[in-house]
Amino acid sequence: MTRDYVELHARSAFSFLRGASFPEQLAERAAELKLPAVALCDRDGVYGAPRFYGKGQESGTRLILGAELTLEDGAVLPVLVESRTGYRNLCRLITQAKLRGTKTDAPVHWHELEQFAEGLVALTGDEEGPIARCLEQDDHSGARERIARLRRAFGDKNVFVEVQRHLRRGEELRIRQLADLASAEQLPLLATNGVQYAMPEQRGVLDVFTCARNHTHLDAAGRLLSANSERYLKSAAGMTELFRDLPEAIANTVALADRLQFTLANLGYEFPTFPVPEGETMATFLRQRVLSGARDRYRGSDFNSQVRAQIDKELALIEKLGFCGYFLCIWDLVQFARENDIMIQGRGSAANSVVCFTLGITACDPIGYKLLFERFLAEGRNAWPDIDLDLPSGDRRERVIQEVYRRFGQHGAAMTANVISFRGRSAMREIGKALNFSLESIGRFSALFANGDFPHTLDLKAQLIQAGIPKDHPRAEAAATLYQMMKGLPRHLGQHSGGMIICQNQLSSFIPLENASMPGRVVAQWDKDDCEDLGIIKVDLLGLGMMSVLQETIALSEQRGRKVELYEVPADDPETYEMIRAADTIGLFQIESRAQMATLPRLKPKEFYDLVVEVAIVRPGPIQGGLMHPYLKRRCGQEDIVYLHKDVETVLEPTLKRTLGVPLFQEQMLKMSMDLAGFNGSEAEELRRALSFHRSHDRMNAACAKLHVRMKEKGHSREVTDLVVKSVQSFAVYGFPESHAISFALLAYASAWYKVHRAPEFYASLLNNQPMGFYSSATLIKDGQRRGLHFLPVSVCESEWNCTVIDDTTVRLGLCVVNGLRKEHGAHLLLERMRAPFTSVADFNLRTKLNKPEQRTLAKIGALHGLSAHRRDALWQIELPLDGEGLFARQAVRPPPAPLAPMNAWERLEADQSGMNLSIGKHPMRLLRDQVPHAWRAADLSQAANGTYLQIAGQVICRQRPGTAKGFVFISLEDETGVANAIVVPQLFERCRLLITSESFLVIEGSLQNHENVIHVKAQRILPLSAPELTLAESHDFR
Amino acid sequence: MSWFAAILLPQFSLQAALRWHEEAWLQPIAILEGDTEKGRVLEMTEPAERSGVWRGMVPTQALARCPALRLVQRSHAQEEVVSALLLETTGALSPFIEATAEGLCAADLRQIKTRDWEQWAGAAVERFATRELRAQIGVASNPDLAALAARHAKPTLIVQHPEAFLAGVALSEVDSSPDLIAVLHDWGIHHLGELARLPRSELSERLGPAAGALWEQAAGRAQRELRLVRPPEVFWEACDFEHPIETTEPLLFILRRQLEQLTLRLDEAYRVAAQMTLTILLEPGPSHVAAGPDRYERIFTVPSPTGDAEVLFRILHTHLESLQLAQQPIGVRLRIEPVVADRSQFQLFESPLRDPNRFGETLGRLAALVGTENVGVVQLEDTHQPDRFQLATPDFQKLAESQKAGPSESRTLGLPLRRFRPPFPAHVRFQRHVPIWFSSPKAQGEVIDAAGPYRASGQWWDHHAWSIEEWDIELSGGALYRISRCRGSCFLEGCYDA
Repeated sequence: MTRDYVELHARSAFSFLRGASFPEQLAERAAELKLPAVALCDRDGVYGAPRFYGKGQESGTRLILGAELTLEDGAVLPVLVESRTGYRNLCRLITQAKLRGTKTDAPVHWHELEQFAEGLVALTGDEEGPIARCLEQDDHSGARERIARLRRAFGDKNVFVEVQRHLRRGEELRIRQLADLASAEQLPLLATNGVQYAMPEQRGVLDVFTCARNHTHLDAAGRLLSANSERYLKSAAGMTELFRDLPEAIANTVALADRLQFTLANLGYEFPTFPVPEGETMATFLRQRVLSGARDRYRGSDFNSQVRAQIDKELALIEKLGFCGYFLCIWDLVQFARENDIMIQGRGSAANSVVCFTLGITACDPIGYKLLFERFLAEGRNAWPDIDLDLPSGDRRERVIQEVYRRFGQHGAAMTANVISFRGRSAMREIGKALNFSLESIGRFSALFANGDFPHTLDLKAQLIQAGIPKDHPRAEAAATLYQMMKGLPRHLGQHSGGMIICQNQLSSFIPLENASMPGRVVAQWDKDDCEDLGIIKVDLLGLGMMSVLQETIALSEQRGRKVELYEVPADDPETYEMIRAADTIGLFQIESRAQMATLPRLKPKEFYDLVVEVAIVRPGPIQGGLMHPYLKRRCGQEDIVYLHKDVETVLEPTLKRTLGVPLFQEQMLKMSMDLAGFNGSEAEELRRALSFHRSHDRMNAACAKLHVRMKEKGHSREVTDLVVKSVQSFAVYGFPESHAISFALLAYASAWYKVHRAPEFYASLLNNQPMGFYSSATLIKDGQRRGLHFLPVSVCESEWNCTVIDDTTVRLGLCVVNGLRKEHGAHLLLERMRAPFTSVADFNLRTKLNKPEQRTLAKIGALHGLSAHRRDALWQIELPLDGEGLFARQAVRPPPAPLAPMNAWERLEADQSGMNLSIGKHPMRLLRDQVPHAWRAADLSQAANGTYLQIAGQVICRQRPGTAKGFVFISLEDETGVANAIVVPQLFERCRLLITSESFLVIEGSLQNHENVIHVKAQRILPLSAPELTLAESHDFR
Repeated sequence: MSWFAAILLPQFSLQAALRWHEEAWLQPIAILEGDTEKGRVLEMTEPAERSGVWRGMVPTQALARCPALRLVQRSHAQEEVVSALLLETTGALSPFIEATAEGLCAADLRQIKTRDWEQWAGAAVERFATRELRAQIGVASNPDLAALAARHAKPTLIVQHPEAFLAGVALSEVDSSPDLIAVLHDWGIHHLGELARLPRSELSERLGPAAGALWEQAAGRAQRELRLVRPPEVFWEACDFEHPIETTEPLLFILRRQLEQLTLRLDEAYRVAAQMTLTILLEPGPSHVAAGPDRYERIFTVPSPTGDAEVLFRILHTHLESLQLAQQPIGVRLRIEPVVADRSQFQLFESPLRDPNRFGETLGRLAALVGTENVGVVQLEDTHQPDRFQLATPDFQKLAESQKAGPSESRTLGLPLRRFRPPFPAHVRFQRHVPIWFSSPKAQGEVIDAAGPYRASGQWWDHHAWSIEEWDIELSGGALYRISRCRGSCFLEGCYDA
């Protein structure tokens, strides 16, 4: 391997708009050029390092860690990491600056360099560097002064004068000045190419980024753009030739690179520890907690030898891998949540572990469900377990997150990053703006992307043409090329929805941390995959709206003396299953979507495991993988049960029996590979990870090849091997952990049980926790009304902030549903009412001191009933100014009636919709019914014969075009009796696309299809239904 | 009794946009406020309205209702022209005028002797028609009432009995605070008649003086003075084309119509044209014209100020005959700087010719022969491309100022270079990318030393992409030259003064 040049200053696209290549592309290109190492110096961070490191491991290019630091005077200083101390210092230095500054402006102070310089080497940088900036101003003394500062901070041996040659006229003068300075200061010269992209052709992307940073376009950017394409990764020979006049500058790169031996493998990350009582070790304390929990979870004979053996097996492995502290930390967090009345439930692969079950982290018994522990944890595998904890969304989840920060320190815990990349729309938006395309063309291009998860099938060139950029447009080719190069490049850093990494007060020594946009949150510079690859342990704290609903439902039930805890919910309740089978599932967890509703009457769940399958099977993966129909057919006896191939039937039957021979879960795939190819647990898990690891095709192919070989060794025929490999490959895309499905099914069943047996509490909680789920409050209320619930209106005399339960069939709407009413104003109102009931509108007005819009909204929606004759009377009175002392207001004297007419039904509806986005009054369709006298009501559709040509009409509450449905569109129309569903074929959708996507009320004509009580209208004609303007709740569209 | 007239240009934005496209009123067209993605329908033609397109609709919904609908962006430039025209024309009807709102003017008619307001208003409508504008005129006893009458006029309405008229007028037609209207809407008050039935004092007590004023208006009792304005003294016209145009004829056709309009108005104001500014809006995309990427602009000084449309047109025609534009025109603006006919005088660089306009025309023709791109002042462009410059129309005033200021301070980077324009073709022999022998019509010989290559490239995003390599060479005789290689050919760019 050539060892005569090392590139020591390269930026990747993780410098966000300052580099144009993926780190992986740089690593790959370096390997092609046989460069032994490359220093990745992204701007103010080490964002791209794990990716470069991973690729470099494969291709044989060593990553030298570094970063460009933005200094307080605007200069940019590249530093390189020599040792672990240097790396820690770099991370801490960046963290300190980032946590002090803002998202866009977080410079390092010059005086901080000294504090964190140990183990770091400084280069003087390129044209943005502190020295070049002085020379540009002819400030030679300033340049020498900055050199002196760097020497003081980093030491004489750790400062290199950097020279770059990009073949630009005028740069020779600068190079001569730098060489003279190096000679005068007796500092070594170092040649770099200040790499900004791997290949010359990527210069265009950099120019587009330059335009984006400067808010301009290519025609106007002038000399802001690159002068040429020379800042690509160059070969040793090329750089040697370029600096033939300064050979020592080249030689020094090799010498310096030899000093910089730190790699990410030496990160030194340690798993969290947990303080235990004296005399205990973490292992003994964990065992104690597990056994104590086991005695609670497995009562009497259930705590048998199988359970004990599994506990011993798991604990032995956990101890061996050094995870005791981690499990105890999670256990402690769960305890914290419970003590603070925060519902918490683990899910994902953790549910495969009996230790998690006994520690109370998960709710499903892995032994009872025969779940595979190896899916969670296996010896010898690189990835560590991550535990997903579901929490009630909102404040309660935030309290747990803040508790993690509190326990582990601001520098000890962080959310993992979520890298926001240029996708189709955003890439073309940036390119279009740079190429000076009209906003209309850019907008049209974006609009041509498929909605929702419908796969995008339009060819790029065709899409450009349809957007108004013809093939012969002088910039069409550039647009297409840039688009391909830019797609997937990182744009900026966001935070993962719930992933947290922890390390006792040490995290900022391993990863730079920065402030998230959300106050009080700190985010790490790596995403969860990067963290996982580098062995940093994480916990997912995910917010689930349904957890909030269930917790509140239980609390409301308790208030009414009929509390049923989650674990007390009776299993196999016939009424609950009957409701689920009838697809009466609006408001339920996971099984309320249109697709789920269409499957439930066919799958006919009778027991809990049916729900597990239901949750797992109605997903894009299994549908695309063609699993749903075989399963449903086998379930109703229309198809024989087969176990992949007759030669392996006996081997696979125990694994696949519970899903009728259809491999549905990841655990089943793991077990298949163990049974058929003799994989051990970690090999099987490695296969799963390789297949689901979208970043590397090579990794996938290698894993499949291994499966092939091992199956062949086991004597399986080619036919069987191919079948298994194919099944495993396609499975990888859609696989769903069984343990995950069980955790979800538990919540789905519980939500259904509460809907049946604690209906008012459940609906009140649903309304209190909006927005969540699939349907709006308006639809939930109509659903509740159809189930016999009464909803009482918002009343300033009766309502609390939240919706409350009055009796077994009645719910009072709370002030929380009122648009624009501030919570603190609501609280003040309630306080005043508690002091003394309101006696008149004026009294209310005087004592609550709500702002005018709030008063008007409350009057408009009828919340002042009891104090006024009707809504308009309240509106009239609410405007009356208060006299100075408010003396007369307190008198309960009714003022003369308002000279305004009461609202009619449509006006009340309009007022409700604009004031609350819901109405407990008549459904708008009842008022529009006269316009469509021939339309069938939703509730009557079951009476119609299959194939009847009929008309339905209603408010659109859902439009969906799932990727699995080959362009078919599903529309749900709600009327005064229920919800009617329609299917629209792709051709009709294209004809009526805008009508479907933009009208609030539709009339749909077509033939009725009733298949096993799943009723649809196959649309043949779609018309708008004109309604007076209403502020309707948002429908669930293409999500 | 005083009388006031209100002149309303209904569907103001639409009128402004379609002013030069009479036929477009028969097509379904909607004006959009905001961009195509987030815009809302502002106004629409009758065919569009018949198809269910309403004000406030988002474009997708409007297109869903009427697939043939053409969406047109609101043109503020054209609206500005029409606003000025409205004021100017109203100013000819009465000296006391008010710019009440967008597309609405009021005039105090106390100076007018007539009592036949129907006839007077009819004549005024005709006058607007000669400006290609559709006006509705209301005449009433106060300005606000007249404004409401104008909204209901077909095309004229004289309000003799205010109460009867006001009862049916919608609140939404009244110019009042949207918040106030929203409150009244919630009260179920939708017409002025309903408002007038409310007790005035209680209304004012609740909703303040603005509500009281509105009540006065509803009752036909509002009296106020006009906020008098003077008609603007700018003369300009604007027209956006339905589609980009491909030949000069349509452009000339529009320009002639605009000139006819402008000279008519100049004539009425006793003015003549001293300078014309022609702006041609171009299709977005690449452009190499002087004024920028989205427009072509040129100022014509009229050598002898005139109000003769024919003479002015010939100046434009001569120029446009030879004008080559890289992109297609999508709109045209014509602005005239007026002077009082008697007081015009020659500028510093003009000579008292017998027929200065003809001389100007001749200069235009000469420019046409050598190309307009060869006339002007050299300016370096903001690009990395060496020696890239453009010719700009001279601004003599700025030129004089910069001469006074003296030469700008610039850093010297090397020896002075004498450029050859155009560069001489050259033959260069290279050895491992280093020039070793050079030959050109100007010089030839062995290269004894060379610096470079210096590489620059740019405009890679379209057909004008360029890429160049340069070297500085020293020939055996000691002479220093700059040579370049571009698309495989070599050139002698210049010699250094050693």
